[in-house]
Amino acid sequence: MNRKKAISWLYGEFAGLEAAGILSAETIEQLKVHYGPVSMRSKRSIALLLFSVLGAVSIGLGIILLLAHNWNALGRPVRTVLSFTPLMAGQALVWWTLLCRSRSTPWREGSGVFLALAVGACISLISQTYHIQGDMSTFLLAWVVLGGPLVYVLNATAVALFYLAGITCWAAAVQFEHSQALLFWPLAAFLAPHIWQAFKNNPEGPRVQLLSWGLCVALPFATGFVLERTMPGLWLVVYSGLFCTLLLAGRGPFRAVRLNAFHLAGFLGVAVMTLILTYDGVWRDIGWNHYRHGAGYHAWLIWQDYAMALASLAGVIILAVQTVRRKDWLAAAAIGLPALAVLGFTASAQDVPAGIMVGAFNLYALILGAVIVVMGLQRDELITVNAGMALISMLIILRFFDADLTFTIRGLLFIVLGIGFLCANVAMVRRAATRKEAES
Amino acid sequence: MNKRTILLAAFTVLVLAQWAVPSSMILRREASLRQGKEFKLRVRPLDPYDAFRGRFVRLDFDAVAVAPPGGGPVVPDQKAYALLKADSAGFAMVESVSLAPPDSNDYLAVTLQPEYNLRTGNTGKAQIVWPFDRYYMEEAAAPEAERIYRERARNSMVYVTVRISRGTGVITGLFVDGRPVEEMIRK
Repeated sequence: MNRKKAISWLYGEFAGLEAAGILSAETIEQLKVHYGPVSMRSKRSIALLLFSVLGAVSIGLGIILLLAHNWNALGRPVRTVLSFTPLMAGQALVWWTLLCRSRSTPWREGSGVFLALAVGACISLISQTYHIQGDMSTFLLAWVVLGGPLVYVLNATAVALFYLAGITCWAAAVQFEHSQALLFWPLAAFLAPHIWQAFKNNPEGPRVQLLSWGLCVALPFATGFVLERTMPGLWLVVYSGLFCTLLLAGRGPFRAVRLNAFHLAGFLGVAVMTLILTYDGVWRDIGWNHYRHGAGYHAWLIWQDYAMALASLAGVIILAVQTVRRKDWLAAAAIGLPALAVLGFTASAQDVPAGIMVGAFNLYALILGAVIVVMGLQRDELITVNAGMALISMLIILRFFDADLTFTIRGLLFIVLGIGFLCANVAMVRRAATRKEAES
Repeated sequence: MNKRTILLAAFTVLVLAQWAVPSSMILRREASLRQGKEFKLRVRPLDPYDAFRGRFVRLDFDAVAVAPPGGGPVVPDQKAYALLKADSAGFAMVESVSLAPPDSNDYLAVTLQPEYNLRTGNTGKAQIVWPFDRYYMEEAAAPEAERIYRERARNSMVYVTVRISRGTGVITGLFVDGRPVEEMIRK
């Protein structure tokens, strides 16, 4: 139970405690002064917020789909009026919200989302009416640039999440059209003040929670879309640094946030990257000697890729200081991933045989898994123990699929792994039960 | 100035921008439709789908190769201007291609790509990429249009009409053997 919920529960008990003569009215008053007012947002207002955003999204998307049908029978003037109708409705709604409901989060979020979608519907119908050339990236860019400022006009986090999805899709579209996505960075930086403000106001609040989920989903995709990949293999340094930074952020500054997205995305990313780097093919033909040229690549963007690699490593270094201070050995073990990735990339670029890196990462995956299991056992965290065991099991399974072993041996291996999982879980549950009994 | 006034002022600027972008898209094309000259371009239609903008007929145009403007080799995605004239049947013919807008109304902003030949590689010529690639139709009509084209592909003449004025072109219709495709679908 978090602090707010605990205080709310305590306040609910006061009436009964006073009636039973356990607490006096004076003591209750003193307790209320000590703990302060309960500022929990009621379930009703959260439901209202959720439905306002979902309602706006449904209506907005419905309008886009209706317009996408293409009503050929309607002439150009009617279609032009139709293009602007949802836009004007959205603008009127936002104007009214700013004037009369500026303190209502459901109104701000709902009207913002509706107007953002109406902008897209308007551009879509005009493109359709005049048969304007495809070019998805130009369409998405116009959409996010015209809808993005609503994040600040209405202080709307739902619009911020749409914006984040929009710029990620734009980066994908632009790379698909063989262009470059350098503009992604200033577009992403536009959101920084909103995220900072949300974090400053309430680091454990729902806004931070939603934004961190948005960031953790968008960042790994966006990184892949934005990377120019003229330098083969640099991606493994960038991704190792990125996922490690997410994990360290989740175990550091954001550790108090419920449903910690940074922790989950970081852990999954670190585990998957570690397993990917145990493959031979990843370490072949990478580095300076295999520089990519040609029509699809923009040579000067190698600087962007270098900057991304440096930024992801800088994130790791900054957060690593905190990790060492807190003696968080799981996070410390995860730092090994970017460190080894940098060493591996440098060695591969100088034509060191791939087998050495493959061996090093197999060993690292085993150590990382073991550290996670030990941490879980020390802290009595069943989920952590299972996560560590899952990593070790995946490593063993992958290696045994690579190796030319008989079905009998593979079958036995799976049975042994299953028994291991069951025994560890039963032991942990029993230990927890024994401790609970001893405490009571 | 209080916070609300600042927000309202900022929102007013945003509203103006939200009107300006679609309006400029409309005005440019309306000018071409009103003042532009009509040309025909031969096409091969196909039917894909756009999640936001709906169903359309993708237009593949016959390749037009020209001498590179300015004498030098063509770089990929080079912007240029194609001066057009109509033949006796109204089909567009490229009179010249230049890097600067010509002194006429009947030109279209196009993109040039180096022309490649499978045997000889770069031919030294430039291929024109027209600024049209789709003709939007009703949800059920676009696949029907493609079916009609497939059935008649060998014997039919399929073309679009475009109105062109000072660099901008707007498609005004898709025709199969001189009849609007919408009319053929209705029958």
